[in-house]
This record gives sequence, structure tokens and C-alpha cells, in this order.
Amino acid sequence: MSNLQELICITCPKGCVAKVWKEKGDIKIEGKICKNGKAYIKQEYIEPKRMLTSTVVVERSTVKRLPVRTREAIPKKKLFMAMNQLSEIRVKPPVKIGDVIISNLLNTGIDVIASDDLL
Amino acid sequence: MARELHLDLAIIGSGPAGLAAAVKAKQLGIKDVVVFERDERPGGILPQCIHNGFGLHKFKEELTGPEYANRYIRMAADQQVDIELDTMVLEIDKTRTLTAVSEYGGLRTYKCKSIILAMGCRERPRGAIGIPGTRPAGVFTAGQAQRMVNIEGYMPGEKIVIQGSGDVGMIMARRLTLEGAEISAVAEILPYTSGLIRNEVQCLHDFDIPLLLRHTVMEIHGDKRVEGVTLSEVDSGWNPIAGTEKFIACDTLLLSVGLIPENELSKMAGVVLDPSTGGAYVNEFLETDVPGIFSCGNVLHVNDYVDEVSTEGEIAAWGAQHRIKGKLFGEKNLIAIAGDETIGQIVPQAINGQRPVTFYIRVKRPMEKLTLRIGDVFEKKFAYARPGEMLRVSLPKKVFAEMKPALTRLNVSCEER
Amino acid sequence: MTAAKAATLPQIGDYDVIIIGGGIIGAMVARQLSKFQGRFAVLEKAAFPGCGVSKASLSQIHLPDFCPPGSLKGKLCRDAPARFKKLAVELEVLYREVDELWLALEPEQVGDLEAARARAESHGATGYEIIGPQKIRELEPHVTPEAVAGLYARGLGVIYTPEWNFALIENAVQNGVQLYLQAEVIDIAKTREGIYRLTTRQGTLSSRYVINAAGLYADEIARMAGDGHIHLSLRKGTMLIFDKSASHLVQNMIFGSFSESHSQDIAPTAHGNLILGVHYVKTDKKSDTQVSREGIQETLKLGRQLIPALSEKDVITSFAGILANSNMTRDGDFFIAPSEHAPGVIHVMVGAPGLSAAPAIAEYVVDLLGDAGWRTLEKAGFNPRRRGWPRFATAPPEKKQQMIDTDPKYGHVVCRCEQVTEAEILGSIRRGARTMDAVKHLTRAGMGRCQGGFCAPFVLKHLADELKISPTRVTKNGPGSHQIVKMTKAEADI
Repeated sequence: MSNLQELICITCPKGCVAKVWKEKGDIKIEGKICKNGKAYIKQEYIEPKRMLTSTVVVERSTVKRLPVRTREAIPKKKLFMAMNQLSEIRVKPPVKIGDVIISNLLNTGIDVIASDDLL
Repeated sequence: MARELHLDLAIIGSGPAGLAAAVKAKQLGIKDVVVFERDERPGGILPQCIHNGFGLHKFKEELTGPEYANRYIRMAADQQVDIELDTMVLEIDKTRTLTAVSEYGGLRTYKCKSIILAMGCRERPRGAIGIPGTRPAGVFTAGQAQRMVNIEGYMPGEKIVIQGSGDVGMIMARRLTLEGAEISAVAEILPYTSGLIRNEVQCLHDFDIPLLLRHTVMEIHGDKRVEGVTLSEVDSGWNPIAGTEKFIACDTLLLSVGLIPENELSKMAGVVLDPSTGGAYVNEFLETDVPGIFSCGNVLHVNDYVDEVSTEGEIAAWGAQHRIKGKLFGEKNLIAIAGDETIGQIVPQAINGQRPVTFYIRVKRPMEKLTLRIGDVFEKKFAYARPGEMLRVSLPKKVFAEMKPALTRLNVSCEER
Repeated sequence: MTAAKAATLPQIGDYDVIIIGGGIIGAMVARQLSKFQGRFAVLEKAAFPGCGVSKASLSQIHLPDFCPPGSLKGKLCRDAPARFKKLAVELEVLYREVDELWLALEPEQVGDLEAARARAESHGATGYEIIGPQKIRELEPHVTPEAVAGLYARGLGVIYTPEWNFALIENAVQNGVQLYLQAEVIDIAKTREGIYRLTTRQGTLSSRYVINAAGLYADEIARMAGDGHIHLSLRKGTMLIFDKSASHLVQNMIFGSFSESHSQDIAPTAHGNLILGVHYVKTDKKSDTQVSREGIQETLKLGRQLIPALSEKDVITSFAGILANSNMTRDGDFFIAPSEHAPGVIHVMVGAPGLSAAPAIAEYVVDLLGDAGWRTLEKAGFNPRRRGWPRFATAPPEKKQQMIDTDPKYGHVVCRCEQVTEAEILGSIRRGARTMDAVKHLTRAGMGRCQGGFCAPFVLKHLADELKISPTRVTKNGPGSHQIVKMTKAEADI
């Protein structure tokens, strides 16, 4: 058993706990956990990923900030770097919900999109 | 003099409850519908809830707060719903006369055939829980800080302690950390977090933010600006345990210590409130005891999921339509719903027993392997239940057919197996 | 500040009378002085006047039933309600009439009521009657059934002290008085010509006469003037404010018993809440305005002895205030007298009922100035009237519409709990409010049940916009109490 971790599954409010480890190249999971849970735990063990939601500075408007988010989850370890990137962004109206604000964020292949209209 | 106008339906609040009610009202054919919104934009509290997790039931997607609001704002526009922004409702009375004021519209009175209350909640402030100490700058409620960071772009502080591990508190812990602050601790007076496990993991564990269960802020220090707080461990009666005091240096204290349904307008109209929810007593149409006045969303009871809030808005619209058409039942034949000591809250608190009903129930304490019973007509098993997670129980109409005709009361209870 | 630094500060003014302290006493004296010819200034240490002892006042206007016979305080608060009523009209500021009911909860306490009546009558205040339980219940249905008798007097009042403080200063300034803010006095020296030179944080000023109305710091000013034998003893009192939904419980000022460690006092506030005080503890720290858990609990317990239905869940905020009494008089009487060592300096050290006596104190101080050699010549063109500001919340519907017609911003309600409009908030900033607390105390925005939860970000933005400063420089109550630390996203700070 190498690299044993105890992880909490968050796919439903139950919060079941599972032990995860790597054995001979295979991911092993032990604990009372359902199918959805297993998929999450496996990903969490291999590479934890998180959705990032934040805001960017708006210029030329009485609105000050535009909410944005990553289209999908990105590696957890890139969250603070992503925040730094976002702090450089300036947008101005008009922006439509879903517009791409940053394309291929930090080479993850995942875009940052506008989470609201800016009229 | 104030102009007097007539409305079929006035909706107070353009959050997820009010907007859903407005859209449904239009779909049901109600003609003169106006939504009154005090803020400069529609959406209620949603525009500042920039995190995701909304809409899984309604839209089968995990949306952010603004995205969820945007769906309903577009539907409202499609239905040509009239939303009056920057408009404050000053008064409503039991004749359903509503007085509103705005910069451009002035003061005006509306005679309404029906009113839907969708005002949401306010946060419990420091003064209401009486935290001793000085009164420096730097004490905010979590929702206030959320608005400051997400809408205005203000950073409330750099070294922050949060009291209250409900979802708002935990989400702000993450948000502020990502924006560069240090969260020294999240203190929770209960022995468990009052929010979702998912938030505990993704907001606290992810950032190594210490979670201090059974702890509360005993004192705030600092003359002009917060300089620190003293936390203390508490016993099961919430009394501080001597000798456990810890001083934490910080420049900001965020309080996430409870939401209070904002029913001041409701009280003006004579709506009677249920002390266990802080919201109105309602029947299955979500009509209060004032005919024609309905309540839905967080102003009725604090909800866990925005999707439920919108569903309640739809039910209220449906009720308003019935009221306008004169099809609603009167006070007769109401069956009171009474929970025992295992039940913290239950809505609706009275039903007619002639149509399917969904009950929303909070247990008083965490329970496992429980059976929920409603009278002797309905029973459902749950693996677990926590006060922080509302149970939804739907009773089909046939359940009532089996009830005794002269029944005036249904008792609700939970029993652990 | 070092002597070297002090020496480099500019000379910023030369006056006939300088008042140290812009609290309610200083403000009242300033307004009184402004009726006469001369050059006058008020030096206020904080960012906004009335933030010290005055802010934590119970804001009640009493008759002399608390005042020992023959005392100066009794003499000076004898016609307090009538004086305040007149000023309320001149200054267009709120005054609410209430009656007084002093309860005896046990037969032994009836003697206290008799004594109170005797004290009031010794100062010429008549109209007190002792009433029985039935009449008590008619007047106040929610009072404890234990009340055996009550001392009833009609025609007292409640105000909101910060509003009056500001109104008085505004009227004084209108009439030529100069106001210096953030001007803490750090040294007083006397020149050979007998003029006083005051060194403050803003610069130095000179004056022939100095009124020491510095509240909690009056002893330090006295020491600077050479009167090091004057000391203050301090007591801290806790007060609770109740939500308006509890207002129906009390119609008038209700008192219970009084001792060294407590006074039982519950009354409506001018704006319709209830205020309950006061549990006292001795303190030796002037900045000790901390509320303790015991303080809150004890205060609530004292209140419930008078009004059993009072509930903790209706408390919207609690705060503490410090009361100071000097060692120069007996029985906590007012000490208003010329300095022993510094002719021309007049000390004004008053505890309770300082607020009630304030108008008469101001006249008395002017008399003392006369005794000290100052010639009082009335000023033609003194304008006793100050334009108040209309409150949207309490205006009847026709008036509300009129207000909106003259300024549409009366139609934009910002503070939902107290119905305070944008026009009032902007008005307060344009008339001198520079901090969140100043806007709050003048307009009531943030004093309601959500305590600023909704409106505070709007008030912050208005202050930043009107004062043309970055939001990061908006403070709660002066330097050091900034609301926010920076803008997110490294947005450039203007």
C-alpha cells in the first residue's frame, strides 16, 4: 500500500469516507461507497479538480465586477495561479453570459466564461 | 397625492422565488403582474452568489447564482413581466393595498387582488447575539462581505476570523482566501458544521482553514479597527468552558450566525408568523391567514436549495391564480399540521386535504435510520436526517381519501429505528 | 507629539472664547455664545462632534427629582423640558414628549418616591403625584404587577442626542463659531499678556477665555491648565436597544430603583425603539466602552423587573457609555466653576442629568464668563433658526410625495429598516458627515434591525463618491477605523 489517503466523498450530502491507495498501478478504494462516489474518489486521488468561480474588474460601467467561472473543473493546484491571471483582466460592456473571457486557461484546455450579462 | 393603481398580482422581491412566481403567473394567464425590487438589479441575493451549485433540479445543470437568476430574468422578459427596480415597498395592509416608492415613479398605491411575499431573509447582526467587547470597524456579516467582494470589489480585510460554519460562512472562507486573505479560523458553536459536507471539503479542507467546532467568539478587541477576537470552547448548553479561551489576532470578523425571514411588511398586513420558521403560517397554496396574501421562498422558511425556492414561487402563483378566480377554499375544513419534539419546522402548517401536498420538514437534531410519520396515513423511511437539510415529503391525493372525514389535526413525528 | 513638533505647527486662530469639547455641553455653550459678539471656536478631538460621552446618552430630558435639594444640578435642570421644547422648534430637531413613572416595587420603596417628589419640589418643580397600582396599569399595561405605587409626572421628553449635538453645532457655525475637528488639545500655556495658547493636533490657537467641556478628558485639560487636583471617577453603564416590535411595551419613561451599581430606566427612544439601562460598574479606563456578557445579562434582568415581557430576542444592539463625576463637589453635583490657578478658564464637569441641564448650563457658563470680565454684547443678526432635515420615514403620504417632487432622491430608499432615503444620506454628507457613524447618527441609516447589513455598502459608496476619496479611505469613525482594506484584483486605488 503506497500513498494511502482517506478522502470524503462529496457527490451527495452523506459524506461517506473511503480509503484510497495505489497498488501495482491500480487505484484501490475501500469503504462503503456508491458508484458515483467511486468515480469522484478516483479522480480526487489521481488529480483533484475544482471549478473556479471569481470576478473580473469592469471598466466603463457603473457595474464594478463581472462574475466569471471556469467552464469545467481545473486542477486544484492551479487555482491561485488562475486567480492571478484573472486579476489582470479588464472587461467592458457589452458582455453576454457565456462569452469567453480567457481561452484555454493556464493550458488546461478549459475556458473562463462570463457568468452573467454585462449590459 | 399618491396615484392609485390596480393590480391582479403584486410580487415583492425579484429573487428566485419572486421571479419564478412572476413567470408562472404569466404562464397561468394572470394579466396585471408587477414585481417590486428594492435593489438596482433583479435576482435578489443571487447576483452576489457567484459560486456554482444552483439549478441541479430545475435545469439539470450546476449553475452559478447569477446564471440561475439570468435564466429566470430571461423567462420573465419573454413573458413581459414588469419588474420595478430601485423600488421600495413601504407598506401593505390586510386589504392588500400596497404602497411603493421610487425615484422616478414617486409614491404610489396599488390595490391588489393578490400579493406574493418573496422578500427573502436578512442576516442576524452582531447586536442581536450580543457579542461582548469593543465596537471597532471590521465586523461584518458574511452576506454583507459577499456583496462587498463580489459586487463592489471591496476587500473587507486581510486576516479574518469567521463565526458560523453554515454554507455562507464556508463559501466566504474560500472566496476570501482565493482573493488573498488569510482565514485564521472558522468557529462553529455546534459540534458539527451546519452546512454541506461538500463545502467543508472544498472551502475549508482544500485551504487548510482550521475549523473549530464547539467554539464561539467571546469578545471582540480593537479600538478603531478589529485587532483580534477571543474564542472559547463551549459545552452542550453553549456555555463557555473556563480556561479554553484563545486569542486570535485578526483585522476582520465575519458573522454567519443565522438568517431571519424578512417579514416586517407581512406583519403590517396582519400576517401571523410561525415562531419555529420565522415565516408565515400557510396552507398548501402557500396562502397566509390573510386571504390573497401568499408567501414563498426564504421569507417563508430558510431553504437549502434555490430550486425549491423557485418551486415555491410557482405554487404561490398557482394559489394567487385560484384566489383571483375565486376558486380557493375558505378557513373551513383546514387540517392543522403539528410536529412533535423531534420536528423543528414544518411547512405548510395547515392543509385542506383535497389535493396533493409537499411538506418541507426540518428535524430538531441529527437522526439516523428514522421513520417519518404523518398521522397514521403516511410513513417514510430515511437513512439519516440533519436540521441543516430540509426533508421533502410529497403526499398524493389518495392519502387523504383514506383519512377520517372529521380530522382536524395531523401529527408529524420522527422515530429512530 | 513632541514639543519640537508642536513648535512647528501653524498658528491657526485667535479667539475670545475657545470651547474644548464638541459634545452636547460644548455644543450648547457654543450656540449660546454665538448670540453674542466675539470670536468663538470649538475644538473637537474626534472626526465628528458628539462621539464621546454624549453619544452614549440615554437621551432623556429630566426634571429635578434626581437632584439633591440646594444642588446646582437641580437648579439647572428645573425647566429642562420647556427649554428643550423651545429649542426643538428653533433648531427643527426631534423632541418627543413623554411622562415619567417612577415605580416602587415594594412598600419600603414608597419612601424613595416621596423623597424624589420632595427633591423636585425643592427646586420648584411641581405636578408630581403618587399613584396606585390601578392607575399605573392604566398608564402602562405591561408594567410588573409587583408595582405597589408610582411617582407620576407629566411633560418630560426624549431626544436623540447626536441629532441635537449636530444641530446645535450647525446653528453655532451658522452664527459665526468656528469648528475644528480632529483638534485634540495637548498643551495649554499662558502668555505674559494673560492669553492662553492652546496647542492642538491641527495647530495652535490663542484665546483669552477657555471653556473646559472636554467630557471624559476634562481632568486632563484641567491638569494642563494647572488644576492637577481635579479628578474624575468613572462608571460604565450598559444599555440595550430593543426592536420597534417591542415598543408597545412601554409608553413613558419608567424608573425603578437606583443604587451605586444600577439604575433601572426604560423608555421609548425618540425614534420609536426602547432603550433600557443601566447596569453600572466602576472603571478606570476612559476608553472602556466594552460591553460584557454579564453587563448585558444584568441589564436585561433589571429591565424585566419592571417589564416582565422584555425579551432577549428583541434586542437589536447593546452598547456601553461612561459617566464621569468630578471630585470637586459632593453627591455628584455639577462642577461648573472658574479654574483656581488659571483665571479665564472655566471648568464644566457634569454627570447626570447633564443633558437635561445643558441649556441652562450654557447660560450659566456665559454668566461666569461675565464674572470673569468678558463683556457680553448681543449680536444683531443672530439667527436662532436652523433648517432641519425632513425625515422621509415619518412624513405623511402627501409630504412624502412633496419631498420627492422637490428632490427625486427622496424616492430612493437605501436603508430599508429605517426607510432612509438617498437624499437624506447625501444631505448629511453635504452638511458635514464624513464617516459611516456620522451618517448613521444623523440619518438613522444602519440603526435598524439589520444594523446596516443591507445599506452599509451603499453608504460607503456615497461617502466615497461625495468626498471624492477611494472607498478604502472611508472610515467608520475617524482615522484608523477604515471599513475595507483594499480593492480586489489589485485594482488601482484612486
